[in-house]
Amino acid sequence: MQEKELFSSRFKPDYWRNVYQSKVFPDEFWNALSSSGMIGFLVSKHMGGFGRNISDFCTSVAKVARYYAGMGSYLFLSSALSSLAFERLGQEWMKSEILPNLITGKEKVCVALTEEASGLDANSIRTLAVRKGDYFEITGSKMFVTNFDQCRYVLLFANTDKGKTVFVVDKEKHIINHEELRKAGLDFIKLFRINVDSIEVNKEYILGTEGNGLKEMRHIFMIDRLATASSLVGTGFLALDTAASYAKSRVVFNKSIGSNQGIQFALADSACRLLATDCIIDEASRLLECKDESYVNIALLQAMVSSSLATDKALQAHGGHGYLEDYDVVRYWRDVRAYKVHPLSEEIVLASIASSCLGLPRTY
Amino acid sequence: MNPFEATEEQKIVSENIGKVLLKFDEPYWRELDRKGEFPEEYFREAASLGLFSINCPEEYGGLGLGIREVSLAIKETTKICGMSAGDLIMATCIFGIQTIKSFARRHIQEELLPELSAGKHIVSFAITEPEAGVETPAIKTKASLENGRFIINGRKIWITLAHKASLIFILARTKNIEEVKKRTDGLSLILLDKRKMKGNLTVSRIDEISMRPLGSCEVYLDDVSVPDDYVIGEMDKAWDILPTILNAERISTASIGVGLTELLVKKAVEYAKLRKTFSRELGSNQAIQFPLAKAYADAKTAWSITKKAAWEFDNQFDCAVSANVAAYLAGQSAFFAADRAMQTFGGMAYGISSDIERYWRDSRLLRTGPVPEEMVLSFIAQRVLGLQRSY
Repeated sequence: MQEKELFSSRFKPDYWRNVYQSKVFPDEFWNALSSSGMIGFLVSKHMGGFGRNISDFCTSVAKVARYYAGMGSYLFLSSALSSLAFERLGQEWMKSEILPNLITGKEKVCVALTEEASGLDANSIRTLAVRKGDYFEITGSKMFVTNFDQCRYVLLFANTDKGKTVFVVDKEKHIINHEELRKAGLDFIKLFRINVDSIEVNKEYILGTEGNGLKEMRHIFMIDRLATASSLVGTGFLALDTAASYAKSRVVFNKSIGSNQGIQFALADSACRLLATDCIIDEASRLLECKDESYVNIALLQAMVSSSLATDKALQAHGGHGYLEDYDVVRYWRDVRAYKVHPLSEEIVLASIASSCLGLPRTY
Repeated sequence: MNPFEATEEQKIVSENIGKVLLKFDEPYWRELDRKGEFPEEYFREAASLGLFSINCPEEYGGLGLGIREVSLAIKETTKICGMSAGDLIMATCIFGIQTIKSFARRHIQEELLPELSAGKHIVSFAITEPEAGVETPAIKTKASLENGRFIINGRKIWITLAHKASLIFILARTKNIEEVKKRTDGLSLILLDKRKMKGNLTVSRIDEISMRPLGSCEVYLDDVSVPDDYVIGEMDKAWDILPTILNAERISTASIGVGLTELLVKKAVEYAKLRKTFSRELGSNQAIQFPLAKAYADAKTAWSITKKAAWEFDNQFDCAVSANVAAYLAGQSAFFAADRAMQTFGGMAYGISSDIERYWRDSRLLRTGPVPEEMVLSFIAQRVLGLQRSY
C-alpha cells in the first residue's frame, strides 16, 4: 500500500513545471494514478476498490500533494470521490457499466453545480429538468466546471418538479456547449462555462433519487471538503519544504538566509499552523466517518488560511527568485489562492461556524 | 488508536468539574485578582473533587490516569474559572505529581504523592533568574554537596506561587560551567520540602499584571539546604529530565490557552446575543461574528493538537513538536479572543466589572511565558524545517 500511495513521488517538481508551462493535461500522472488503483480508494473492495476510510483518504491526498503534485492532487481526490458517488448513489447499471471505467481511469467525471447567478447559494440554481415521460428535458448554464474537456460524464444538478436532482450526462450522447475560462492557477486542468439546451436525458441517468440530489450528495461533499483541506495542507508543506531547502543553501551577506529570524520565524509560524490543521483534519475525518460533521468547516477554514499563508511565506523566503516560475513556489501560491473562494469562500465558512456553532444569527 | 476520542474517564472528569466549579464565579476571581490573594476555597474544592489525584499513581491513592486527563481538567477549569484556576492544577499535577512520580526517589514518592493528591501542598518550580530567562544554562544559582545535604545559594525570579509554596523545585548548577563540556551539563533539579529545609529562603512578591491570585515572586536562597536524596533525577543531569517536565508544561499551558479562548468566546457571544443596537442583535453583524467564529475555530484546532501531544506523551512518543505547536497556537488564540471579546463588548469592556480586562491581561502572559513565542518558532524552525539556529 505504501508504494501505491507514493505513486506520485515519481513525478517531481520539474514534471509539474513542464505541465504548467505547456498547459497540457498530465497524462503520465493520470496513468500512474489509474494503475495504482487509488481512484478506487474509497470504493468497497467487492466493487473493485480499496475500501479505505476517510481518515486514510485524507492522509493519502496530503501525501500526494506534498510529494510533489501540489494541487495536482485534485485529480486523485476528485476521481476517488466521484467513484464513491457512483458506488453509493449509482443505479445498478451504472455500478456495472460506468464505475469500473472510472476506477481504471478510462473515463472521468466532472461536476456542474454552480451557476453564474447562484454563486454559493446552491439552492437557487435555475437549471430546469422538465419531465417528459421517461425523459427529462434539461436546459441551463453552469459555471466553474473543472476538467470538462477531459471528462465523459458530467454530474449536472438541475431542478425537477420534485426538487434538486443529479443527472449523469454522457457527453457521447448529448451536445454540451462550452467555453474555456482563463484562470490564475491550477494550470494542469481547464475550467469551463457550459450550457445545455433542451437535452433529453433518460430517468435512468439520475444519480441517487429524484428531488434529493443535494441531500444525497451531502456526505460526498463533506468528504470533499476534508480531502480538499488535506490537499491544501500537503501543498503548503510542499511549499515550505521547497523554501527550507532554498533557505539553507542560499547564501547572502555571508550567511545562509535560513539563519535569519525574519525568514525562519515566518516559515516556522506557517509550519505550526499547517501541523495543527493536519491534526484537526484528522480529527474531523474520524468524526465524519461516524457521520458527525461538526469539525468539517473548521478544518477547511484552517486549511484555506494556513495554506495561503504558507505559500506566501515560502515565496517570500525565495526573494526575487520566488517570482520566477522555475522556482515552483509561485505556482503553489497561485494554486492555493483559488481555494479561499472556491468551492467555498472563507466568509461563508466563518458565517456558517458563527450560526451553527455559536448560535449567532445567520447572515446569509 | 484514536488520540482524539474522549475516554470514559475523561468524560467523568469534565462532567464533575462543570457541576461544582460554577460556584467560583467571576466576582470571586475578580476580588482575588484585585487583592492579589490566593484562592483558598477553590484550592480546597479542587482537592476534594479529586482534581489533584488524576495522574497520581493508584498505589498512592490516585486515579492513575495520564496527561490527557490532566490537560482536560486544566482546560475545563480554565474555561469556567479563568487562567489562575487552570494554572493551579498544572502546578500541582505537573510540577508536583508528574515530576515526583517520574523522577524522585522512591521514599519521596511514597511520602509526597499522597499528600499532593490530597491537596496538602502548593508547588512552585524555579528555573528562571534575572540573568537567565530562556537561556537556562546561564543560571548562576549554585548547589554544593556537603555532609549529605545540598547547600544552595542564588536568586530566582518570576516564580509563580513561591510565596505560598510548601514544595519548591530549584534548578541549580552543581558543576561550574567551566568544568563541563556542554553548557547544559552540570545542572541539578533539587526539591525543597520546607519541612526538611534549613537556611534562609526569602520570597518577595512582585506586583504583577497576570494571574494575580497566584502571584509571581523573587526567591532568594542564602545557604538553603535539603538532604541530598531530594535531588530529582540524577545530580548534574537535570537536562535529561527537564524536556519531559517542560513538554508536560507546554501541554498544560496549551490547555489553559484553549480554555481561556473558549471562556472568552462564550462571554462575547452571550453579550452579542443580548446587546441590541440599530434595532438588531449586535451578533448579527458579520464584523462581530466572523472574528468570534475564527477564535472558536482556532480554539478547536489548538485543542486538537493539544490532545495529540498529550496522547503522544502518555504513549511514550516524542511529543515535543506537538506540545510546542499547541502551546504557541493556544497562546495566540487566547490573546486574539481577548482582543475580540474586548471589541465585542464595546465600551462595556472598559469597566473592570466586565472582567474582560482581567482575562485580557491574563491571556497576554501565554505569549511570553512559560516560553516566549520566538523560542517556539526557533525550535520548530530547527526541528521541523531543519534550519540553522539563529542565535
